[in-house]
Amino acid sequence: MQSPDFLDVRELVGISKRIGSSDKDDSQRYTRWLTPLIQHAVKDFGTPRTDALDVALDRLAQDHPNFDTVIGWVEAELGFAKAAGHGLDFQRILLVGPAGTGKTTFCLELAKVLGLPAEVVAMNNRQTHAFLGGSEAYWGNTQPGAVFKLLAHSPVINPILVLDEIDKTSSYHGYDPLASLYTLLERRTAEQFADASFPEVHINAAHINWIATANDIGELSTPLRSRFNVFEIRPLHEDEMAELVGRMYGRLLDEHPAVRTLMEPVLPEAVVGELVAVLESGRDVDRLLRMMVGRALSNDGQITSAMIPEMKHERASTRMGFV
Amino acid sequence: MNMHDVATPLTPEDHARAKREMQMRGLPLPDESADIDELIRTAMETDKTDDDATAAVPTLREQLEWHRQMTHDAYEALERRVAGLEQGVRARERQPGKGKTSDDKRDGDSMHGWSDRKLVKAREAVIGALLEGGERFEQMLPAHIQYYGSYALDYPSEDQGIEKPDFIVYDALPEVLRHAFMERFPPVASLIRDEGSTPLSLARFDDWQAFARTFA
Repeated sequence: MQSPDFLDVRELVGISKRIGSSDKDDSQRYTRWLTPLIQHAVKDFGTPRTDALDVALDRLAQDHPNFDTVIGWVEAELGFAKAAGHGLDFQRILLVGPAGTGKTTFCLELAKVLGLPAEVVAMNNRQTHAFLGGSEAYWGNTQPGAVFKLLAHSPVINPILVLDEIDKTSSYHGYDPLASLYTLLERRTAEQFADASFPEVHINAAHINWIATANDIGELSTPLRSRFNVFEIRPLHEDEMAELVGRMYGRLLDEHPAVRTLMEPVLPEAVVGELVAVLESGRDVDRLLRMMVGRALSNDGQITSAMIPEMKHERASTRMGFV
Repeated sequence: MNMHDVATPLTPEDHARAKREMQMRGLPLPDESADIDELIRTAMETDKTDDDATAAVPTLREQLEWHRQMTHDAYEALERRVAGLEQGVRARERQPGKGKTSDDKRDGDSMHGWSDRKLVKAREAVIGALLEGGERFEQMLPAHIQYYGSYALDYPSEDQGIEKPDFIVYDALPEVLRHAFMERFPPVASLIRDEGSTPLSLARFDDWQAFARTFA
């Protein structure tokens, strides 16, 4: 598989002289950002489809049953990519659903399973597009945006960029914080992307995999919405949650054999029922179970329903925002 | 030639030998703590009308002779030392890659050994030269190699047209630059490093300069 072109080295030879700036900060900025860009300029695709990846995706689907259509989509795209001779490429996925359905958690776990570098960009309250496409070079404190930063350090050409809560941006004095996306979500224009902070340098951003999350896409413009494949994410059903809790308890013990010998092999049904009643999503099941097991180890390995509100109280007091 | 065989500076052993010779000849030993200034001062203070001057003259003469001999020995030893150093410099200049300019020396010193760790540093320096462009890019000193230390050059085929062993180390170039260069100028030689280290690929420096000029 031939490496896709990422940048034209001719653009970079002598660039620090061509920009003609005598500003020391400017020179340091060029060295700081263009050095990793050159070091990682030859990139291959990450994540060719393998049997091990299929197994990992199946497990991800079990843990996130409400994302089964998304995982099915990704599996199909991986199958296509394998036949075409590259990795997962230029996905534009928009996950829409109520808060607490585990959208962001799922994005990170998907990136981990795929073995791709990922960056989460919180979109809430963004007022300009600089966070994504960089600030203009004439500003003294100009900085490259998330796309440039991610690609400058990524060893693969197809990392994942998560745009979290894309529906929460707000325009400011006519600036559209999503303006850069129109360019970046079209393959032809993304192939010649130039960060506003380094307008002379063009990089190929046409292989980034995009995943955006939103609670409501009613306010998103039609051109932007049309660039995404939209997936509606529903909350977990009670039976799905119960199954998830039981499975994650078993996995926790499997991963820690020394703990398994001290604990009951199966979570009591009453405890599962109580947990399902208090959990809004599956994202914190693992952490909650770990805490409960820790407590149970001081109680001869017995987990009781009474531990659940106790746990909730402790987490609330540490301001971790649980439930 | 071992320079220590031809040019040895004066040592404490030389002083001990001279001391033994003077004792064997029955000559009075000069106070070893007294230097020539002391000898001059003594000679100046001795009144020529004084009766003691008769006895002092032979002693001063012997001390003067001893210092003359020691100075002469030191001069000859120093002369031999300088001659040996000159000989070594001339011999090194006759060997390829040993007559370096100060810039070459700077980069050559920093890259001594061409270990993998040094290669990483060289790549960073190459990127600096790339961003600056111009002469610094054409000279590409961080990747330029003329001195091979204890390593060996290996020419994979006979007809490489190598007239002088003046190379660019491919492995010191960042991958994107290496690819572009290699498309036009394939490697012509290898540098065989220590056991366990992979050989480095080399390109003619002339080829590099031709390639670099296309970016002007």
